[in-house]
Amino acid sequence: MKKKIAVFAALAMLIGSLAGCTSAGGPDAQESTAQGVTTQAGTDGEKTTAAPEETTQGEWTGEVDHVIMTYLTLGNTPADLQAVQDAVNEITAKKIGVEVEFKAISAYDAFSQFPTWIATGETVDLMFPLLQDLNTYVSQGLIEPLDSLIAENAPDIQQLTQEGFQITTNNMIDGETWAVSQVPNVFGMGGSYLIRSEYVKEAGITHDPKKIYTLDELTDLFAKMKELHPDLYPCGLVSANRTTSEFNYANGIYDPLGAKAFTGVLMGTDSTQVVNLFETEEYKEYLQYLRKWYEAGYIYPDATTTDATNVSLLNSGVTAGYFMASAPVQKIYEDLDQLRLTEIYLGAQGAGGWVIPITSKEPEAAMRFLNLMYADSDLANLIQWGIEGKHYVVVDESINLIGFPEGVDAGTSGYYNTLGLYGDFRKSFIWNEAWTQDKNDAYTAEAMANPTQGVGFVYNPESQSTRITAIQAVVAQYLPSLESGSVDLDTYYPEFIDALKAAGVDEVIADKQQQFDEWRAKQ
Amino acid sequence: MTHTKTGKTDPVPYKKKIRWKRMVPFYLMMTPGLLYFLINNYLPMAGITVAFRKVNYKLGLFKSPWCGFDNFEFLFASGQLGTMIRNTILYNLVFIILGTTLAITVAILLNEVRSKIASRFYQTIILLPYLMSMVVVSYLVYAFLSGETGYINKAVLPALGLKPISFYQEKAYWPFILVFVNQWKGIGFSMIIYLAAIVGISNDFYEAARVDGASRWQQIRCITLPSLKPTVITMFILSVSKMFYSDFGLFYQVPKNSGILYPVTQTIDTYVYNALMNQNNPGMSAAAGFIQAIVGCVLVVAANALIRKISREDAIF
Repeated sequence: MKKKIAVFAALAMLIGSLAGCTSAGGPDAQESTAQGVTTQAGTDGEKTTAAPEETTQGEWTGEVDHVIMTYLTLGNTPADLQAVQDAVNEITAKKIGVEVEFKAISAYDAFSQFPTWIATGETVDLMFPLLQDLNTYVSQGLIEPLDSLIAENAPDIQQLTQEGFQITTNNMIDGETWAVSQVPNVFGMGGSYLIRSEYVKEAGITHDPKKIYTLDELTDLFAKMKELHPDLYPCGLVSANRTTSEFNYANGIYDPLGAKAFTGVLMGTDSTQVVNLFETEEYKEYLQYLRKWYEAGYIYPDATTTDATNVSLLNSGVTAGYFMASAPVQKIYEDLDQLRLTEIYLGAQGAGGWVIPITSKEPEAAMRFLNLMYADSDLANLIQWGIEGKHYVVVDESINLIGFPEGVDAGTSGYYNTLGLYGDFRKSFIWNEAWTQDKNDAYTAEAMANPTQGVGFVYNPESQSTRITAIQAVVAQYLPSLESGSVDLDTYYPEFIDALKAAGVDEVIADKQQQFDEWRAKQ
Repeated sequence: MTHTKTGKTDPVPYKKKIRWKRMVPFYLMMTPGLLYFLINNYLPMAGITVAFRKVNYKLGLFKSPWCGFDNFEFLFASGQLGTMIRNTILYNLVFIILGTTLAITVAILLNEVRSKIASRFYQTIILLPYLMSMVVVSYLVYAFLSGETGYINKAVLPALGLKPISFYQEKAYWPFILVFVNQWKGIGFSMIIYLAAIVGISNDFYEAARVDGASRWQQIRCITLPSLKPTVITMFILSVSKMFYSDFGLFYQVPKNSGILYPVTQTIDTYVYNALMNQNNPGMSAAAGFIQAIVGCVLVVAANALIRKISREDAIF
């Protein structure tokens, strides 16, 4: 039961990090508010209400095509997946002549399985390579270009693109669109320390949601907590197998320009200079804090080796909180405070989304289905949250709030899929009042006012793939230990920087700078 | 590369004309084995070309463009190739030498146990770790070494009045930990092979020795050990051929993939896994596999040449 909740929370985080990280010059805040409050009238499994603005051909008369679509899980395939699939087909067969078959796979296995499926010729029509590198898919010829498919089959995706959502434009490589992203319900990025409210109160601090706390203030808070609860680790930090720095949650703004941060970043919102994040003063300062905290016993000593997640450590009371993006969706429980540590800003958006593999037999039908997910929020919510009455009940229709039906919880529900991959998030149901669209819009507005110089640019690391493989190996070697404070900085920090240079980080940064400069010259 | 299955042929060349008919049954008996090797070991070798291609699935594996040695670059780009090769080879050397010595010792000791029940019991106990998955072993090790809940840090060290050690952040301990875990896990299996060889030694030798008044130690030194030589050599060549490969579970799972330990735990296999896990590049994986295969092949030939120098009749080819 606990475990299930932890998994759910991790999922919610994943969605959040998607929403939190993928951010670009979307529509302005007012516009998105106006669209965001559109709520759905559909109230039961029958879903007879038509999609809001856009309707496809009323009733499909042609043949019904069979589309196989990947269904990402976090390990457990929902028991009622078949029931949901049947409910989906009831809608889509009539509307667009598509009958979908979900192919369930864990998001972790997908990393190696997706290319294998395509390489062995297995038919898959729609695929979501979550957190995988789109460039690899393109350069290895695994997926189809989408431009003409979108032009012919996806009026609603075009419509959203025209409204300013970069769901297709940020997935352009070599002048072609290769993927369609979800429409996020929130834009922007910022860092925070997410912590149990009781500890904040206990330490005599009144949480000010707008205030940006410094790391020194955080240190004082940790010290107070450790004093009151000697067995508690106030700074929850899990770094096993991590290759992404959490620096931007804690000590500053950077924009990795749509690629991994170790390939070079813009520091702050004014800079146009691509630099090595790990060599910056701010980063070094961050490491010094971490080391101090580790030595003072604020950080979990097994941070580098544990298999537990931040959320599960929080649930079991081992830790009091963890560093996270400050987007509203990250507040996964009512009794958490988000202590802001950086300003909210808008950075370049990374690529990724739904793709059509070269093994697809029905690319046109797949595109029709994809399009309908964006147009029809009933469909998207059905895939996302299951069948109304059985898997959820609407609590407050005005804000799209839903909850579990009587006697059902995250552990016993036959369908509880929290990986948010489907359609337009602005119309997705929410489980927590802290996630309402007006909160998201406020966050988006703050981010829009504070863009980095890289907004709109996506780095193509294709030519540097060998170096990036080597750099990634170096990062995986040092980052978990350094960013949990568990090793001596004087010895290992210089070693880390040297290893990065030996792996060719400077050449990659130069390449990134060159592409960035060329892009800027065209603006 | 590893057809040791065919065994030794008589070194004295046959003068007699071999009649085909008589050989047919033997070839028939060999067919399943040959087919197995053909399908599993030789057909996939066509995939070696992938190591020299920039893979593009649209064109297909065998139509992808050539890219020369580009795929090999990443192995060198890290600058860690030296460490990896050193770790792989040194650990394997220690494993071979220590493993052989310990396994023979244990086998001889077990052979001396007279009670049948006790002997079976010990055999089973010693073999048990071999049957365990490395993942399970890694958690056993973690239960001892972890910082927050580990047995050593929570019970042993405080009892001795010592400070806790963060094992997963300290390189110095790992060469010993890894060798210990490897021996503890692997000894049961090689012990059984040696025990079987010892049991196969004719009792007449020992009886004759006893009549001559040889002590237990003399019997072991002059009868058991020399009789074990062919087994040791076969086992040695088998392990040498794997010298460039490492037990992935041991080097990846047991140290919990802790980066700071890489200088003493990283082998070619773990590096390739870590580097390619996120990249999904079949070309680079094939390149690493190619290097391993070539070096492995060279090592087998070299080891065999060495043995031929020392004792000709024991060489495999």
